[in-house]
Amino acid sequence: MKEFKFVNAKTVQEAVDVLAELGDKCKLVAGGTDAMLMIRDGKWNDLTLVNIRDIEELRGIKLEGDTVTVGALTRLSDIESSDILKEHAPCLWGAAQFFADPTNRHSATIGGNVGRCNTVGDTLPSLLCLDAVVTIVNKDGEREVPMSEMLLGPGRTACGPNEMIAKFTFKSQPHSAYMKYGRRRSMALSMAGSAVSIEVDDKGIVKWCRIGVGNAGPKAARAYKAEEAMVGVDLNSDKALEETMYKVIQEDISPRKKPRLSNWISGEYRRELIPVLTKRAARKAAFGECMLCKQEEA
Amino acid sequence: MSMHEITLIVNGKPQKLTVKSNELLLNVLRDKLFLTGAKYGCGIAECGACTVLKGDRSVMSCLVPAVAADGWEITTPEGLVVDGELNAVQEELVNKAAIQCGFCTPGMAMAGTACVRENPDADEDFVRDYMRGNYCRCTGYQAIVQAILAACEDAKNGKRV
Repeated sequence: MKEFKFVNAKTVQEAVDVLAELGDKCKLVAGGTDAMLMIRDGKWNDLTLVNIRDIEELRGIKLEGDTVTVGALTRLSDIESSDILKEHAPCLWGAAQFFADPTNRHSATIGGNVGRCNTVGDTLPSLLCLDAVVTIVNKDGEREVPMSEMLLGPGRTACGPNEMIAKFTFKSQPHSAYMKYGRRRSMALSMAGSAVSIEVDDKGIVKWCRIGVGNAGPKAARAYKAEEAMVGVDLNSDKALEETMYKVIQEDISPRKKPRLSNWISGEYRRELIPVLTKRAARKAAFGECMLCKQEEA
Repeated sequence: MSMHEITLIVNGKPQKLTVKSNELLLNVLRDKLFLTGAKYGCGIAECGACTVLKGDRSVMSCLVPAVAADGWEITTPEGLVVDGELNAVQEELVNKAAIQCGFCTPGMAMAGTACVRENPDADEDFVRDYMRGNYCRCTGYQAIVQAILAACEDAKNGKRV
């Protein structure tokens, strides 16, 4: 194992004090399921690791009125088994089911997933479509950043070197869903993922929606143009939906003529995949069931 | 590099240890406490051979720095055996012949134990889903899944898990 220094922070105060002192010479480690790999690969060198794994005050899922709060150190296994999230944010709850494998989910945290800001992070599209607000703490206090401004690029977030993510807050959105496509069920990074939060009238016409897509570009992002184009579209009609999706969402994904090739999926394939996943996620969100979803999950 | 004093409760026994900051929990268990049940497989939490229990939850010890585990209650595969008697999952793994080379078996026993403790009413889907982080390259999983399902039955009949 590469060498590193280590600080055990037992409270938020201890952690932000260390962060204020060391800044970008240190890295926070929560579950360590990604951080330890970075060290092993030699991508992070000469660092002090600040262990925040056992800070209980940043853990937990709360519902107050129609506002849901998820602590940054909430483990994916807690999200997966949370009845609050199953009812009020099924997209996030569903993302946890797809996340790595049950043993890793006992370690991995939602804050770590966002902080690492990998475009394939499974919770990112869901948090984007829920329009979550991220609370960030530093030595002098705390500030709030909307999720849409949180992600800046691969591995870069609005959370500065002296700061740490404390919690995520969002409004209850029972009509939301996440669809992921991976090579296999277990331990597969998503080839593409799409989360939709939606409201439809009783005929199935979209009133508004928010769409978050993962592994569509260098970072997970909102698909703003597709969101606008979806308003007024009949969700029951394959044709109407596909026309909107295929035309518009691709502008959101990447304006480039030739799409970027990532390690495990070609750009062309991804461009075909994301509209389909978004369509299915939208239907699953609105109607609670999508005929093709069952296959997808297997 | 820095040295740290930590206390681990391993298989019910408190252990005071001095570890380097970059030592992994797995290596401390294996090299310092000579509990070689947990195996070093891939080292990147893909294969599950290093699974141990933290409380009742399965954790892959190859990604945990030993210092981060300060104060944890850990069970290794050795800890599943009480007074020379295997627990339900271990025994059923033997009964169902769910072992060939045996390298993955300690990890399977740990994850299986976590699975049975979490949901003794598990059906085959639940078990397959739960065990998907543990790789076996010999047996083809069928016998392992059957063993864990049998262990669920044993647990309901009062056998120790």
